[in-house]
Amino acid sequence: MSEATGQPLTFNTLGHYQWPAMAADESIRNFSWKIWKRFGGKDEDPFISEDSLKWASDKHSAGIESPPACGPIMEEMQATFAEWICDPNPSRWLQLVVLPPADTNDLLRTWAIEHDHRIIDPPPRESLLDHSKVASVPLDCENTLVVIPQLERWFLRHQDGMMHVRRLLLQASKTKRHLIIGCNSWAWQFLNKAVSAGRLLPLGLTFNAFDADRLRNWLMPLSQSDNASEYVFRQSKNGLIADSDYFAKLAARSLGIPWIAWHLWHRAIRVRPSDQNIGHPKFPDEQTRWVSELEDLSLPIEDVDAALLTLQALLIHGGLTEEELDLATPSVDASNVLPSLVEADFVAHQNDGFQCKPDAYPAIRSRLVSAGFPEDKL
Amino acid sequence: MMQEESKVPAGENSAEPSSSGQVAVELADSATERTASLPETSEASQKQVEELESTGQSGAEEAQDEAMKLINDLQDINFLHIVAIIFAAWLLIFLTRKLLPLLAERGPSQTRLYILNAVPIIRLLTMTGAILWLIPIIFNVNFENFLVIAGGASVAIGFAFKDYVSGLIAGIIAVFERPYRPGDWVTIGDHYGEVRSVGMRSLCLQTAADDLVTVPHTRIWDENIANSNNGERTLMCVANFYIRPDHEADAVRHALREVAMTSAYLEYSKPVLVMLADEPWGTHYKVKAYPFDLRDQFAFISDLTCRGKSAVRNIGVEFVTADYATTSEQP
Repeated sequence: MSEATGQPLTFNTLGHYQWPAMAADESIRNFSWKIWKRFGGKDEDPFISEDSLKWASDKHSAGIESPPACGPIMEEMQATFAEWICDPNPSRWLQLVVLPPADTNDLLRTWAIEHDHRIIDPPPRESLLDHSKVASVPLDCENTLVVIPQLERWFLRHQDGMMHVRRLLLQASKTKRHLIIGCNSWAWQFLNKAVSAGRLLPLGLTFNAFDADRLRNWLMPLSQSDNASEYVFRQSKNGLIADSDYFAKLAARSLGIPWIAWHLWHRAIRVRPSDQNIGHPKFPDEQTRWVSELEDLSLPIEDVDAALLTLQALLIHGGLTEEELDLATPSVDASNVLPSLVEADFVAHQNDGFQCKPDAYPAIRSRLVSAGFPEDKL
Repeated sequence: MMQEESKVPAGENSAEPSSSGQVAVELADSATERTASLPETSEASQKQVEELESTGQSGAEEAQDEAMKLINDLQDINFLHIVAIIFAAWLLIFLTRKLLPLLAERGPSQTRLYILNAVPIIRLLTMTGAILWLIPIIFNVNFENFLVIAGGASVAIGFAFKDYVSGLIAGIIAVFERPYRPGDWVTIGDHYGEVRSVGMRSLCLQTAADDLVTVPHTRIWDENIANSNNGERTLMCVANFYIRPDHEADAVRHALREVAMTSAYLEYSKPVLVMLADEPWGTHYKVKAYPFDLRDQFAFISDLTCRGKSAVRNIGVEFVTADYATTSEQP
């Protein structure tokens, strides 16, 4: 809900995303800390040594649940489209939803399933290079609304791989029915250039960035409380409970994207091994989970150019197999860098394909932008 | 000045001999005038006037000697000061030349060229500042000496260092007019390469074959310099395709455009063009596009060429071969 008006939040048009900013003193501290570390400086003594803590590998030990498909965004989406769906003669038949990448929940699809809307799935990737298999999309059905999630899976960045998406966009632009197309921000930026998608579809919509308060209000209720005890999240560096300063930092680091923040949060949670098997704890109604510092991921030093090209291709397509990656990147051996990227925690191997890991996305985006790659726009 | 001086009694001035040459000359003149204008002064006053006259004359001589002296007395020159200034200037230039390129390569791509461009400007400002600081320490700076130094320098430059000074002046002009800057890709004569550094007398080009070519700045006096990016982060790349004339041009044009649009190196904010022209031996296609980083230009052209060939072959069009070209050119 909007704090000012009490009205539910609705999506904004692209270009109005409020990127949460890192506090100036925090930025200076980070910068000076990096320089200090670079010249061999040692860490300050933390409140509790991270060596004595164990990474909370499973969600239960972390004390947090999987995000229920980012409920606040689902509410925003519903508030945005509810009225439009009911309008039998809207001024615009087509809507475009642009979301940041690494959306493992596939929010638009989840929302469509929840509200019983028809979903059109992308064709299999292996058929994208076959021009003979380009068929029209069945948009004329009885459902009020048709949803096409993951536009990034309708093309392959290859000279023969754009036919399907071009056909789909042309057809969608002419349709006279309620239609929502979802696309990730990197793919949308590419399609805008490659097939002039911006001329065929309306201006995209995206959710409101999660600032510190919104992030805390969403994340903390996800913290489990088993029947006997509540979880308390303390920062390992100073022993203080994770407060608004911590969540401001988390919001800035996660770029205001809730699923990225959730993964960073999960990655930061540590448990003390003794906490799990303690017989008679001092405070039986309280269990401490330690929140470690948000660590910076670093790219493999070797073959950085190929690694960046690979990461960009993975972002644009929302995930690729090795064979598809070789087709979509200029390096003859692009797939060779995948093992090192997996090793460095940038990429995950799932369902025969490789995807950028959500918690690595801020670092990936920062490196790509720094290297001059065309960046996404929210 | 003269009016004010004439109001002052002569005895007061004689008690304090002036240390400044110019003031001494003026005093001497005024004393002479007073002597001439006061023929009926007392004897004591006459003595005072004579003393004043002699003091003024000696001051004028000192001033003349000092004016003729080009270089300060050795005991007045602080050599430690000079060494410190030279060392500080050298250190600043050295650090600028070493650290800024390092910073430019490791920092964000957007700021790379700005940082590289600062190197010659900082060097020029540092050297100018150091020289302006040193001159009054070593030389006795006044108008006469300036004329002497300028005259001597003109002769020396005219006969001995003409080319070198011409290079230096061209270097200074190059810093301000900026026909090339560090990081730019330029063609000078037969050489195309990246400007690695801009020195006082010459610049260094690194060619695609990894040769380091030193080019004197004096080339800007009489030669055209083609700058491909002119300080921007990108530049136009052209991939050429030579195709037999009997083909469907629209299909080839579309295929080549698709190749450029799907290149991983493409800069989205710049246009992509496919141009074609009929030649006696066939049709010459040019794909013109921009990479997002000019350092990728050769990789970009290779990518366009490689995938362009594949795309053109896929639509059943043949490339011009040497035999075909030779045959077509024969009368």
